[in-house]
Amino acid sequence: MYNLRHLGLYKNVPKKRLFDPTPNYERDSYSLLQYKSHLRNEFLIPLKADGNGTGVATIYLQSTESQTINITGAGRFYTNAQGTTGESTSAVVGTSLTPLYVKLNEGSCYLVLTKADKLSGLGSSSVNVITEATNAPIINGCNLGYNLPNIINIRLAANTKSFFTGSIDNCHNLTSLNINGNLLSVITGSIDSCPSLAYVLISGNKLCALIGSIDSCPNLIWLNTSGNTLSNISGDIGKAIFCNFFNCDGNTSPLTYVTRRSNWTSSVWIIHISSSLMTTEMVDNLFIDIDSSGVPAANGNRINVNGLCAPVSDASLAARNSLVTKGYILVYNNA
Amino acid sequence: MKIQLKDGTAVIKKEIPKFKSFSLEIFQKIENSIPFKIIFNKSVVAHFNFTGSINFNLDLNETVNELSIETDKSILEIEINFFENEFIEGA
Repeated sequence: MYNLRHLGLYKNVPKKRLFDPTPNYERDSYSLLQYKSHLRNEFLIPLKADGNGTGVATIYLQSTESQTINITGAGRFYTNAQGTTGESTSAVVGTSLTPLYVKLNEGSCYLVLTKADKLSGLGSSSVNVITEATNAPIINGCNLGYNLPNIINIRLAANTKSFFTGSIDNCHNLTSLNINGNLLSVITGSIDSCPSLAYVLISGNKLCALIGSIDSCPNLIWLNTSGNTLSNISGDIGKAIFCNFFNCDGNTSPLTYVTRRSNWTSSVWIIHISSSLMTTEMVDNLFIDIDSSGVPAANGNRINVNGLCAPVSDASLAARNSLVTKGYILVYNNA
Repeated sequence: MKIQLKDGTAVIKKEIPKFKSFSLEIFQKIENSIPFKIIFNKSVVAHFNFTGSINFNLDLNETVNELSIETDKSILEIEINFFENEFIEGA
């Protein structure tokens, strides 16, 4: 009986190596570190130095319980926004939105949250996760592809050097995703995975590709995919009874109006839909129902159902004229 | 472009390159708001009440070859200008 050793072929057989789960932040790739972090219930935020590294970035995080956050490599935390006091390699993220003052002289490093499952906010509903500054570090493509069961807010609503990647599929408690105007983030996944979503704002971003149905998000308040062509979000806007802002300008998500909604009582900001599934009956009913609900025109006061939507019919003529006298701006396909 | 209206209507057959917004102005004094319909290529209707000068975001993503106006008979002349950029609301 010959074995590989006898045949002289053993040199070609890869040796078994034991997997070392200890992260090596200097040597391991980000993807390997992500895997190792996942095993340790840690969450990594990669940072990269920018400019001459003398500036201080403020990073805002929130947790459902206080947790330690460490910074690797040359990165340092400070206790003031000037980066002059309390230099440290660890800090605490509290249960309220916590600003972390971070400096990185050169290269890259990681913020290491020690309880990934307790992270609730990458920013808040009104505060971006990072305030960039001249010569301060940036978030260098933070991947959301972890199990982040308690993440509620992800906000980076500015055209920053910082950006996020990855899927929201593991963010089951996500309530607000706001990257309006952020051109670099590439976020994927299905809103079906996030039934608590109330705010979906990816306006101006051309790289995100979200899918799913708004029918899965009964708490939806705000949907803005304006300028984003890759996302494909379906569902019945009649079921989104809390939503008064559907802005899909430039996006052809296949939305419908099947369930007639009589409670357009909160002020309608904008309805802008270009959907091949919107039939003439749906378009007519939308105008008729908004008009009969008595909701006054306010704020954006635009109802735009041209593009791929079917044309109107005479059935909605009176409603359209009535809405215009109330101050609405209507755009639709002619009969 | 300035457009003369007759009985509150006008049809302009002229190529208008792709635009993302337009403005509308009326130079005569108006007492009340005036309902307006601007119809692009016989198909897309912008329908609104005119109360003063208006800036309007509308990205048709197509060249307009025909423009129709329908408004009150008292309106004799309007000016519409088309822009390649969106009007920034609140600016």
